[in-house]
Amino acid sequence: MKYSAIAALTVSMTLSASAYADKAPGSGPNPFSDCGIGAALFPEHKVLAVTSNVIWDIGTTAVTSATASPETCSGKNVDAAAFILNSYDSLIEETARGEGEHLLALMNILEVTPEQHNKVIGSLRTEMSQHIADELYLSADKREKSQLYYSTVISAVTSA
Amino acid sequence: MNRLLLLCSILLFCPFVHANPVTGSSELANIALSPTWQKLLVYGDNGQSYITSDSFFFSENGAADPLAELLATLTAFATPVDPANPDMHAQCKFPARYQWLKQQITTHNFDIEELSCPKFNQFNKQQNISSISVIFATGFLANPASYYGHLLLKLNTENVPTKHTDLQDTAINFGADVPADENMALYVIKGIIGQYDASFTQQKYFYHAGNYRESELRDLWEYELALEQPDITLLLGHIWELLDADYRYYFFNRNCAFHMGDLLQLVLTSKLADSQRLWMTPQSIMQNLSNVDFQGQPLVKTITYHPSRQSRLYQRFSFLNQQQKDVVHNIVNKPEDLAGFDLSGFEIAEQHAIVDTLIDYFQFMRKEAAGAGDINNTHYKQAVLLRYQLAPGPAVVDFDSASQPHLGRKPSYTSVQIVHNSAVESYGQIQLRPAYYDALDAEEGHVRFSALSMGELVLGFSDSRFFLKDLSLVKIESIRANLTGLPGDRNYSWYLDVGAAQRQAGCDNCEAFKVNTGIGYGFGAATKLNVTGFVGGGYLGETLNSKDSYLATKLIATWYASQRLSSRLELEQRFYSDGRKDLLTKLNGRYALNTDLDFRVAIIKDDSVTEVALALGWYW
Repeated sequence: MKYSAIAALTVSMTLSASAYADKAPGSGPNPFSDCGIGAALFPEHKVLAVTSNVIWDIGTTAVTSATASPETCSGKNVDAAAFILNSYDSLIEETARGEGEHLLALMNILEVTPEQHNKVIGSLRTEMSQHIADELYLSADKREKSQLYYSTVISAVTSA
Repeated sequence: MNRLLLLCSILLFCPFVHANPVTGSSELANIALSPTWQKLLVYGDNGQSYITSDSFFFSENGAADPLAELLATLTAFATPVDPANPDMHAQCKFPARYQWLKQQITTHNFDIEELSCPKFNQFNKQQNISSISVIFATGFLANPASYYGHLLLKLNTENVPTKHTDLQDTAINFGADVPADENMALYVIKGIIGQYDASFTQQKYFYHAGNYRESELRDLWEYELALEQPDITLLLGHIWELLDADYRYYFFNRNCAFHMGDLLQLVLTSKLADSQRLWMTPQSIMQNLSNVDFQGQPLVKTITYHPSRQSRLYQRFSFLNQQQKDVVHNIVNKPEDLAGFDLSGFEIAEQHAIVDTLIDYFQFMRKEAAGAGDINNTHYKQAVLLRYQLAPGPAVVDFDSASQPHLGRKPSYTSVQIVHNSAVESYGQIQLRPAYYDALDAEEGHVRFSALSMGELVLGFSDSRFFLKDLSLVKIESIRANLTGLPGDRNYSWYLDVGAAQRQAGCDNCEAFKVNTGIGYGFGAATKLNVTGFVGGGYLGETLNSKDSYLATKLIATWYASQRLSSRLELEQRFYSDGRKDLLTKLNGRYALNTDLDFRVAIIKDDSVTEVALALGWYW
């Protein structure tokens, strides 16, 4: 219940992204909600792959984000999701600044052309400032925040 | 001679060998003795491979017989490929061996047809690796395996099909394969006596960068190597071979530092990792790297500093002028005013600098897992939000990178000392510290004001006796300094010293077991002065008797007067369980004569004895 606003927002963003399913960056399933991002983060640990939508621990135990997950869940979207989860704080700070090494890496992973960077980052910055201002933001855990950021950036990319 | 006979026998029974057997055997014997072949088999100086996996060798005796392994490898390379699974072929599993061997022999003469290896090609060619960097992570006193720092390799890409940043590069790590729920004490013991397997693993660099810089607050130093492309290609092939191989891990001398150095030696003529040393630290490898030439040029091409969150906070705070610092202090002291704080009196770049410092500060302070339960999470969110409300603009990234880890002294220390004791005759002392540092000589790559050593030994001698003065199996002082002066800048400290010591300085036949531990909190805010108070307890006695246990209060003041001169005052009041009290006073001073030589003075006083020592020490 306490995450309902973020969850609702995430679902709407995901649906929004899915509407552009034939476009490159937003195409395919959402690695967070559809694939189980754990399948990508824990390719050698089947139990973790099943449960890691609930349990996220990508500190020292994280393994490569190489794509051992189902085919539909591999590729740049999964790479982006894994990167966001691991670099969340750096990303929201750099999004506020409008630039930074993590933000640039994310643009690269999602294959955003340099010409589109300003537009995508500008849109992402506007949306994320609203999300962070939301009172429920503090109640969300790292995975939920990452999922929200993922949905927001995918939406920004598909709209660019 | 026997080996040559064996070789001839084997060759006579090898139908694929078309070359003259005698000539072939001579060539192959020379190849087998080649340093590069033996490096590819990861042989140590004793002629035995460090690899413990049977699958790494084609010959039953391959771990110790380079010729047998060479012959078996050639046979495996000539084996027909399974078209459905080419990656399992010997050439694809051992691309460095293949690449090097085809420069030494005519592969056609051995019926070897070159294969395409999809997985290795993906690892190698698609990344288009143009250089290799060695990453040094500074020491981390919360994890015994990382006390001395850590090493990684970063495979730097260039001209890949899609845009790329360093964070997307692949990193190669070496570490013990430790069960996730391993008990810490067991972990240390098993690590020391070689009860863990270890292996090289690959992972995206951003995982490591995030973990080290953000979670463990460890600085990273990147040393990019000036290797030529053929050497890089050979190294990559060898790394690929090693990803499936197991080693035996020994904490002191067959650790990440040794095996990373050993791996790089494949393409170097100089030694980076000396197998004869009883201990090997990552900083030693960095120092050796910086002294090596490669084809007439320094091996290290560039050095880049990647500061931790904590270091960024300290440096960003230090970059602020006094007016800006005052604003940061005001906000930190009254963070509920953060939302909507008016910074309009400052230029936009100044506003960015102030808010970025606040973001680093609250990020450093908060306990993320506590969520709304930790007020600092709220403050962090407000600081980030404040940054969103400003016009976008860059953060300060021009960090001071003067303290490069290779610039420091060597890790091991020995000193000779003359001691005057008020109760007994004067005597001499020899101190041996295998590694790593004490509070007076903590410098590049170390934790300032702190101390870390294992197996530190002090022996006393005179005309009439030779005795153990002190033995510290483990000695750690983790002292945190509040460098910003901001409230809550973490300055929790602790110490632990376990081993044996004299009950009183210089006494005769009075060796006792010692355990001394405590927790503390630092006062003041200065980069050159630290004062920390502790409460703790310990034990000092010949037998396990509760009367020798004590509680203690302790005050330590450490002052770095200059680059060369440092001093420390230590006061400890012990309250023994049998009612005895003992006040220990220690005053130590150090003057660095040069990078690897120092002069020290120590005054130790307890309730009955005063001792003065003069020491000349050198690092090696």
